Amino acid sequence: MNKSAGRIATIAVLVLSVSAGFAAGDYPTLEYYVTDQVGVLTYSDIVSIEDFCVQVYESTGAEIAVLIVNTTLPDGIDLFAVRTFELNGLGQQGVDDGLLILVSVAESAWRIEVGYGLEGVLPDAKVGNIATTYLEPYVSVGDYYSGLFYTTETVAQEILDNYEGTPHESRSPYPISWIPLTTWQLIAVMVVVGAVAVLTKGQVFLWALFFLGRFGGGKRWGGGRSGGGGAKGRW
Amino acid sequence: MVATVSAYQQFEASTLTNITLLRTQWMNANTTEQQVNVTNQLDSQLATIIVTYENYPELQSITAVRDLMYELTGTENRIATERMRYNDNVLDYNSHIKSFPASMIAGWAGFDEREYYQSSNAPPPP
Repeated sequence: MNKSAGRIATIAVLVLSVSAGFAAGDYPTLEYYVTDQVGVLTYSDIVSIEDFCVQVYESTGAEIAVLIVNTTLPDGIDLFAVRTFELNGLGQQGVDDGLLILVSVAESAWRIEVGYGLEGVLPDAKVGNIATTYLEPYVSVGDYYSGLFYTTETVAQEILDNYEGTPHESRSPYPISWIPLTTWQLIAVMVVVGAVAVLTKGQVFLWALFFLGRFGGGKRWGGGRSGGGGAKGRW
Repeated sequence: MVATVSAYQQFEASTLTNITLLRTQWMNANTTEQQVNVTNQLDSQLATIIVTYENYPELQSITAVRDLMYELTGTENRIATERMRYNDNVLDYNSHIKSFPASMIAGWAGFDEREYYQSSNAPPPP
């Protein structure tokens, strides 16, 4: 293998490993409001559930995420939930108004992790009763969509009714939502990249591919934390 | 059902008395080690209540008892979460004072290695 082929292979491995959806310690990166690693939801199911999350975010700034994994072992669902919550930073920094609905299919277990800032609106007993009423009856018969739809709808309504928060704009002020550059700044960068591409005979695009894999797409979460509040159960 | 609830209430009352006692001991603790010891006992009492509750399926139909269990499980998990964060910070701190150049002055300045927060109800610290 010659030198440039080796370099391409290295970059390809980096891109694939970074975009595989796992953060340090094998905790999932939540790309958007609903992350289904098992494949129990269809695209339209995901969009329906995400509508509630978008509505809550735009009205209050609180961030709800839904995560479906095959297993949380070896950590167990409590530690897995709090680590995933913290690594992704659900909720606004300093306000900690995030909420994670986690379902582990192989373990037949669920956990709803509530950020510090939402503990008053969603105390443990209320969260537990919501899951017992709206999640367990459906997921126990394999209907993950209905369970997650009604659970997300109910917690979203609780937040909308009882939490003030600060309204947020889902639409990015930038022409490309995940690149924080205005139109003119973007044009300037493209001119520079074009010039560098000519000088490096195109190799710069390989590096661009790497950085797109690392930072591209998805939602920027607010940087909030959880203190282990919420509830868990099995079906 | 009535007998079950009565038996459980007697058990719960004695356990809650122990918890109140432990809370007072925690507030009077002077060192981190004493606080860790008392917290471990507290954690153990909470775990005992939850396990006992799981052995009485009849109780799970009583809303007030079920709500209490969700709150106790949440409390237990909050203790576990803060224990994890404490141990993460101890790991960072111990690594920092052992690494150059901090290691040159850490011992002289009184920055000694700190103990992890061990608990029989939790996985061993890193």
